[in-house]
Amino acid sequence: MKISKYILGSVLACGLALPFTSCDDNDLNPTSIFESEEGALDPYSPTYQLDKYCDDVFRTKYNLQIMYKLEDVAADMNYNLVPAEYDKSVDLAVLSDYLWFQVYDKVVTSDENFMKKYSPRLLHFIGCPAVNAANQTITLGLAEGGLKVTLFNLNEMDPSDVYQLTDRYFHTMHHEFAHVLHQTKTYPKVFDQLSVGHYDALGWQYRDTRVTATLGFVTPYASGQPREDFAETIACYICYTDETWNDLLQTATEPWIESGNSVIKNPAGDQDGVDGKALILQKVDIARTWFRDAWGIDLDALREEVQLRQTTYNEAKLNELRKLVYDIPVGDAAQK
Amino acid sequence: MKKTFAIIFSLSMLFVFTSCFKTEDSIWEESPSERTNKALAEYRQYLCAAENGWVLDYFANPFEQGYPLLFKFDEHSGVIIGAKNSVSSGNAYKEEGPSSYELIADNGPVLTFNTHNSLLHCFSDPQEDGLGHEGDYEFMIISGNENEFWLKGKKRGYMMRMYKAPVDKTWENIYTELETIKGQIFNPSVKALVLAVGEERYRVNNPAQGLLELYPIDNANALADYYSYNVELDGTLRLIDAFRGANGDLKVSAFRMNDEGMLTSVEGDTPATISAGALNEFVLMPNMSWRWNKNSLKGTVAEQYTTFVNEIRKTAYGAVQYIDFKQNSSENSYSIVIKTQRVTGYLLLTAKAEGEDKLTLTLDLDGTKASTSFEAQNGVVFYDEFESLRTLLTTVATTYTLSTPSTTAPLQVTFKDAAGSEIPCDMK
Repeated sequence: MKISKYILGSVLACGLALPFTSCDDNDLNPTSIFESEEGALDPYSPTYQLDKYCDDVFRTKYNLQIMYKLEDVAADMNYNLVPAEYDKSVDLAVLSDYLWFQVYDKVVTSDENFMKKYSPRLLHFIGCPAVNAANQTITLGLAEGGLKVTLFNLNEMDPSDVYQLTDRYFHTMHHEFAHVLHQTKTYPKVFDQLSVGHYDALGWQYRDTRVTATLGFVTPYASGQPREDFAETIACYICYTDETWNDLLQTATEPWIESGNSVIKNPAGDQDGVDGKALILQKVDIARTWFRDAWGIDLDALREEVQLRQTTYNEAKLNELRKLVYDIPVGDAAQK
Repeated sequence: MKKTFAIIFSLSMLFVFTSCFKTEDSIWEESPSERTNKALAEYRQYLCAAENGWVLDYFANPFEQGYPLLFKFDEHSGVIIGAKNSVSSGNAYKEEGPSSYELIADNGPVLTFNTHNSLLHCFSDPQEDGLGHEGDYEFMIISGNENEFWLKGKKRGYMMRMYKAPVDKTWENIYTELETIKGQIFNPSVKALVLAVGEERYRVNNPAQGLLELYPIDNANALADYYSYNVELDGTLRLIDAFRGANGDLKVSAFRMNDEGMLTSVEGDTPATISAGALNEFVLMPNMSWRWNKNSLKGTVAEQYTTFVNEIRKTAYGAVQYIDFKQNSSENSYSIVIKTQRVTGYLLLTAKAEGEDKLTLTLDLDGTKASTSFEAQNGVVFYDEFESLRTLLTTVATTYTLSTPSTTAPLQVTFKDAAGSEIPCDMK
């Protein structure tokens, strides 16, 4: 009886196992679903020079893709957007290298792969601004998790205007990069306590620059929340010329207040209890120390290098940078 | 116990024999990605093979005209675009490129124009309101062969036909020809036509402007429906979307001129025509004047007209410059307008349409006298002063049979009465 039980059990087990083995002879398709030539550059393509430049300068060196060919799936489908003009994309690509990547490469001597490790993985160029059709507000820059930075309105970019370039593009780049860095190594929590009670996450856009300066913020956007305050402080300190920075500090010493629809100097003097200039400088000092201790970067050297490049930037320099793209051989010459 | 084992064992053995029986054979030999890649390669080959490129019936939105755009693709992802329209080229013929295009595998093959080309992308620019023209620059490829592609705007969903440009025409000449065809289909002077589709009839306002502005004829309070259109080189008029009528049960999407000069549906389920409709209704539409062709008058009316113009010429009013039949909006009445060198006057007429082509005109002298208009008073002066005019008006006030050589562009209409008098008129 016991033996027959074992026999029955064995047969039953084998029977149950069979369904799981009967169909296992399918081979995997040996053909890859990816085209073998995908990603290869075509030297006869109208965009070859910029593609080649981006490949050599950004992808290979920094593991970063510059996406200047618009795919709407890569953008917010709620907006009507157009691609960036090719020439403008060339300008912003070479300027990104010159005014951002090369600056960090030069200043950060402790780690030659610093930008490769920490820069965003994707720079997305869009030709027009992102206009919200519901309220006509305009977005000029976006950053998503430190991985992707989207820059809008390239088709209206004036590459000869360094102020516009800095204000619209490089300020945004340095700001977003500061986020990437502090998300990797957190900044001192004491910073978050410096302006407690003066942040306005929902109403910062309605604040005036002079009023926020008086409260110890470099811009109204910085007055939204501490982490934006930190990134804006760094970006403004790096990008503002001496004159603009000193103007900001001067404004911060004055008792600006909102009065109805206008902004006036408070006749009763400063009533907010904040020394705006001292507070801004204190924030810069925290950032300076954090850059030094956490990253081994001299913030002042970084600022000096950015300022040098911005103040010496001119049309001749732009043409010199452009040649890095437009001198790339195309067609048959590229294949020699 | 034994019974339970036997049942379980039997059932498990059944699995052995059924597990592979239901395996379906693959419908396609290749994987989805292989098939997509193959389709993309095939489409690329078709696009690049067109020697003189392609004509795209581009639609940005239903509320503005369609824009024919020209494309010449090369094998290296370059495309040259041609345009002649008010939005992207300032009404002049322009070419721009090469910019870049790509065929990508999205949820199916997609043709995208992914670097900026102002002749196309200006239709997608948000402008200040965030909307702009709301046009697409990425298109799902619904079908394609060496002669024709059907593309669907990825964001807005409008279907657009792209057909091969003829090799014997320059791109600029293609635009010239398209403009000629459009002018033949819809004469700019014609302010309104009638769309008859199924049992429904719509007034089509200003059809030559590039979109059909449709009002149901039997519902004066209804809002307009807008359908932009493109004309094609074979004379087809293609709508942005199928017109489906008031209840959504009709379908017509393209028209072509038939041998009788009437636009007749060539695509869709419901027979439809676009024409002037009943000629007598057309003649009575507001904002159109019908000027007597004085050299082609026939019969009694010709003699009486000559007598009248000879008589009035000798007076201070000067020679007659023209006589018009006209729907007078301010008087809400039909009228006959007499313009001399120095004076304009009109007399009111009562107009009654019967059937499709019968029109009876009656002089409304009391109405004219009651009018406060200076021109109506001038008309009464003419009437009182010139017996030849009174005689002429007696002849004019009669029943006419109307005729025209073209049903979509009835720019000439002849008023013919039973006694054989003919008043050929030109639309002004």
